[in-house]
Amino acid sequence: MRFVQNFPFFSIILSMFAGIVSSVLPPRAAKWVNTVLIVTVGVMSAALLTFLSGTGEPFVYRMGHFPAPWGNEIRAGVLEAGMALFFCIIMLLSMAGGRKKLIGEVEYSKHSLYYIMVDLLLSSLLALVYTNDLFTAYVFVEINTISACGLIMIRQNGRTIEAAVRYMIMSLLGSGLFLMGLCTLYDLTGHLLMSNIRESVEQIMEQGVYTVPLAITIGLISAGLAIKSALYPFHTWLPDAYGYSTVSSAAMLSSLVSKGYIFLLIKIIYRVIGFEAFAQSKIIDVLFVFGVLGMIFGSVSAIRENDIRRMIAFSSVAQIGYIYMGMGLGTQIGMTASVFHILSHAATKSLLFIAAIGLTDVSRGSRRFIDLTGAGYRHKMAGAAFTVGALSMVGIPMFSGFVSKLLFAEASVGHFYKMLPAVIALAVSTILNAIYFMKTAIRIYVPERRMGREVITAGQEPVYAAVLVCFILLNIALGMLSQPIVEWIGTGLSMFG
Amino acid sequence: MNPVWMPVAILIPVLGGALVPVLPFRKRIHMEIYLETLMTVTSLLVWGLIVRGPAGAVPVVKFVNNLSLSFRLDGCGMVFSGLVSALWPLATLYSFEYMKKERHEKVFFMFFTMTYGVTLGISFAEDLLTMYFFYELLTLSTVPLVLHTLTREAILAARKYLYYSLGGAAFAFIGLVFLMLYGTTLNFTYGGVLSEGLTGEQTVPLLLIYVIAFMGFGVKAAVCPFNSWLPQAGVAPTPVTALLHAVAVVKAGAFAIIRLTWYCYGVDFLRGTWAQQAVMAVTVFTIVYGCSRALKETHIKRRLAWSTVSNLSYILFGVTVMTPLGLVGALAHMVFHAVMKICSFFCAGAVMYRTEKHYVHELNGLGRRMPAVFAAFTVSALALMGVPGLCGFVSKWYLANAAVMSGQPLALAGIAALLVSALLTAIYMFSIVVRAFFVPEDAGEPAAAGAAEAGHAGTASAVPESVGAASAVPESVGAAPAGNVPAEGGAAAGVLPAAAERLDPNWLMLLPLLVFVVFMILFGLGSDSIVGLFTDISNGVI
Repeated sequence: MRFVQNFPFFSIILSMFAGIVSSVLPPRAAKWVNTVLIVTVGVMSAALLTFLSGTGEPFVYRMGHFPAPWGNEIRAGVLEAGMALFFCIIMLLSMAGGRKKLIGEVEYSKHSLYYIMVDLLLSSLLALVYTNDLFTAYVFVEINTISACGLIMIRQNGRTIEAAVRYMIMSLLGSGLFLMGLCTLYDLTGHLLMSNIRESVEQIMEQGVYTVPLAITIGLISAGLAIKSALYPFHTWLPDAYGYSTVSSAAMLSSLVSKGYIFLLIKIIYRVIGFEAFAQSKIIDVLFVFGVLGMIFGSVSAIRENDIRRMIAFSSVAQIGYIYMGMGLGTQIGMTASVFHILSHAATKSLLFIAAIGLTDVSRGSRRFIDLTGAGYRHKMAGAAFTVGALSMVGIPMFSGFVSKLLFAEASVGHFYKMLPAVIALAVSTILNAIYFMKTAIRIYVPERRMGREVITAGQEPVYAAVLVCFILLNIALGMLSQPIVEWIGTGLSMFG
Repeated sequence: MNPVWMPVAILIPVLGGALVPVLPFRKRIHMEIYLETLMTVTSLLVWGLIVRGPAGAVPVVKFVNNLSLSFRLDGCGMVFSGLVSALWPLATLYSFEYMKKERHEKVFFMFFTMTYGVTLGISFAEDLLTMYFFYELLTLSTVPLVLHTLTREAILAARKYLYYSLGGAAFAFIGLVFLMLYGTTLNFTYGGVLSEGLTGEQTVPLLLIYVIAFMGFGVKAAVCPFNSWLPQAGVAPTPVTALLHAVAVVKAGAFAIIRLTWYCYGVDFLRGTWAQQAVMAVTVFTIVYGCSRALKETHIKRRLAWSTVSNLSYILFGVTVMTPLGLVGALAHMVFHAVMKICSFFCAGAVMYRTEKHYVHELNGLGRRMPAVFAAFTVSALALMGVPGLCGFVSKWYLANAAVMSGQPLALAGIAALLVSALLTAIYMFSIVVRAFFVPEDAGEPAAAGAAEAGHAGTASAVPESVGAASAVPESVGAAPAGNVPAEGGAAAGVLPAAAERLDPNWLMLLPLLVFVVFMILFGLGSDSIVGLFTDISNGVI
C-alpha cells in the first residue's frame, strides 16, 4: 500500500482532532488551526487525486483489522478525491471571504466555537465523501447536521435561532427517514458495507422478490436526503438559514452542506442500489417532477423577495432543483450534468453570498434592493464579482452556469417523455433567473444621487478582494475548461460501478 | 488573407474599446481620432477578408464535448459583416457630435466599440454554438448602452430588453441542443445538417423545436408578440438606436434565423410543413402590426422603431418563403433596410440634437431650417416606401416575386401585407416630411406652447417670428440675425447656434447622411452586382 492511500483517513481524523484541539485554543489560534487544516486537507486531496488519476483504479482502505463484511471501510476514487479537493477550496475561500463579517457579527469569545464547528463540518463532509459504510455515513450525517446548526446559531439573534430550530426539525426529519431506509436495507440484505449491500441487492433483484420493500427503501433514502438538501417542497427552512446566518456559514451551507448530502445520495444510487435499479424505479420520476417544480418555484420566490441575501437563498432552491432534475432523467449523462452542477453551483453560490456582503456593507448594512442602488460603484470589486456570479447563474457562455445548462439540456434531449418538460423548464428557469439576477445587477450599477456613503476599494480589504478574484477565476475555469472536468466526472462515476 | 485575421478583427474593437476609459486622453479630439482609427482599421480588415472571399475555419477555444469557438467566413457572413463594417465607422463619426451633449461618454464609447467586435463575431461564427456565444455577449454589451441615460425610463427599458433577449436566447438554446444531437455537425452548412437516419421518427418534435428556436431568435428580430422591447429601447442615445436597434442587434436576430433555417435545419426539411406555415403567419402579421403601430405613434424615434419591427419581418418573411429567391429578397432587404433606417434615424437624431424636439407635431416648418437633414430623410422615406429607383424597391420586388413564385396561399397573403405596409409606410413617413416642408412653423400653437414649457420660454415667441419673416421676405436675411441674438442668448444650453436659422448640423453628422443617400440611390439604380452576390449565396455557391 502506498503512503498516499492513507490520506482519506488522515483528512477525516485530522479534521476531527483539529476540532477537539480548538476547543481549548484561543480564537486566534483556532483560526490558524482551521486555515492550516483546510489547506492541508486540500493538498492531501490533490495528491490523492493525482495518484488515483495515475492508477485509474479506486482503492478500498480498511479501518481496523476486521475484513470486509464486518469491518469499516473507506473507499476512494477520482471523483471522491476531486470532490474533497473542491470542498476544501470552497471552504477556504468562504472562510476567508466572510472573516470580517464574522468578527463583526459574532461575539469574540464564541469564535473558537465557530472554528470547532467548521472543523467538524469538514470532517463530516470528508467522511460522507469517502466512507464505504452506510452506518458511518449516517453518523456523519448527524455530525454534519449538528455542526451546520451551530454555524447558523452562532450569530445570535432571534432570526437565526428560529432558523436553526427550523433547520434542526427538518434536518432530523430527513435523518429519520434516511435511518429508516437504512434499517430496511439492513433487513433486506444483512449488510452495512456498500459493496456488500450492492451484491445482495443484485441477488434480490434477480430473484424478483422484495420489490416493494426495496422500492420503499429507495424512496425513504431519497426523500430523507432530499429534505436535507432542500429539494423543492422541503425547502422552507432554507431561506432563513441562509439568509440570516453569518456569511461564511451561508456560503458553506449552500455550497457544501447540501452538496454533501446530494453527493451521498449519488453514491448510494451507484454503490448501494445500483444505477440500473434506481433508474427503473418510479422514485426517479418523483425526483424529476420535484426538481422541475423547484427550478420554477424557487425562482418565482426569489423574484418576489426584497432582500438580497434571501433572494440568493431562494435561488439555491432552484439550483438544487436542477440537480435533482438531472438525476431524475435516469441517464448516465444526466448524472454527469448533476455532478457538474454541484461544482458549478457551489462555486457560484458562495461567490454570490460573499459578494453580496460587500455590497450590503457599503449600503449601511441594509439588504433591501432599494438601498443597494449604486452599490456597484461604491464597492467595485464586489459589484464585479456579483455580476459574474449573476451571469453565470443566467447561463452566459464562458461561465460555469452555461456548461451546466448545456449538459442538462443535452441530457434531456432524446429522453422519450421527459424531454420537453425538461428543456422548457430550463428555458423558463433561465428567464426567471435573468429576471432577478439581472435586476439586481442593473440595480447596483444605477448611480445613487445621495452622497455621504462610504466607499470601499480593493486596497482596503485585500483578503476579501483576493477571495473574490479567486472565485471569479474558479468560475471562469469551470466554464472554459469544462472538458477535462466532465471527463473526470465520467471516470469518477464509472469508478463507482 | 489568412483566416486568423478574423479573430483579430473581433479582438481589435473589443480590446480597444475596453481601453477607452483607461487611456488618458488629454483632449476629446484625441479620443475621437483613436476611436475612428480603431473602427477604420477593423473595417478595412473585414473588407480585406471579404474581398479575398470565403476563408477556412479557425478554431479558437475548446468548449465542452469537443465543441469549440471557431470562425469561418462564408457568403452569408460576408453580407452581414460587410454591412456592419460599412456602417460602424460612419455611426462613430456621427456619435462624436451627438454625444457632446450626453454625460459619461467614455463608458458609452467603450461599449459602443466593443459591440462592434461582438457583432463581427456573430457574422464570422462557424457554428451555432459560436454564434450563440456572441449572441449572448451582444445582449450584454448593449445593455449598458440602453441604460446610458440612467433615467427611470432607461432602467425599465434596459431591464425589459435584457429579459426579452436572454429569454429569447434561452429558447433558441433548446434548438441548439437539439441540433447537437440530431444534426451531423453544428457547423453551418448550406442545406442543413440534420442527419437523415435520426430525423425519421422525430419529425414532429423537431418541427416544434424549430418553431420554438425561431421565436427565440425572433425576439431580437422583434417578431410579434415579442417586440415591445424595441420601441422602448429607443431611450438610448440615437447612435445606439440607429446602429444597434435598427441594424446590428435586430439584424443579428434575423441573421440567426437565416442561419437556423437555411444552414442548420435546411429548407428541404421545413418546406411545406406546418412549422413553415406557423412562422410565416407570424411574420406576415408582424409586418402589418408594426406598420399600424408606427402610424399611431407620435414620438419620432418610437415611430421609426415600430417601422423597424415591420421591416424586420419583411426579412423574416423572405426567409420563411424558403426558396432561394426568398432568401435573395431577405438578404437584400437586410442590407437595404439597414441603410434606409439608419439614415432616417440619424436624421431624427440630428433634429433632436439641434432642436430638442422629439414629437412629430413639433416638426412644423423645420424642413426649411434643416434642409440637408430633411432632404436625406425624404430620400429614406421614399426608399422605405419602395419607390422605384431607390433601394427599397429592389428588395421588395424580390420578396414579392419570391412569394408569387412559391405559390403558397399564405405567401400570397404576405404580398397583400407588403402592399398594405407600403401604404402605411407612405402615410407615417410622409406625414413627417409634409410637416417639415409644407406646414408653416407657427401653424401648430400647441406645439409651440409645449416647447415653451420645456424650457425654451425665451425662444418660443421670438424664433418663429423671425423665421417667418426671413422666409417671407428674403431681403430681411441680413436683419434677422440681429433680431435673433437676444433670443438666442435665452436659448437653453446654447441649443441654437448664434448666427443663423439654418440648423443643419456640422459635417460629422452630415457626411454619414450623404453617404447613406448615395448608397440608397446606387443600390436602387444598379443593384445587379449585389443581387448577383445574394443569388450566389442563396443557391449555395458561396
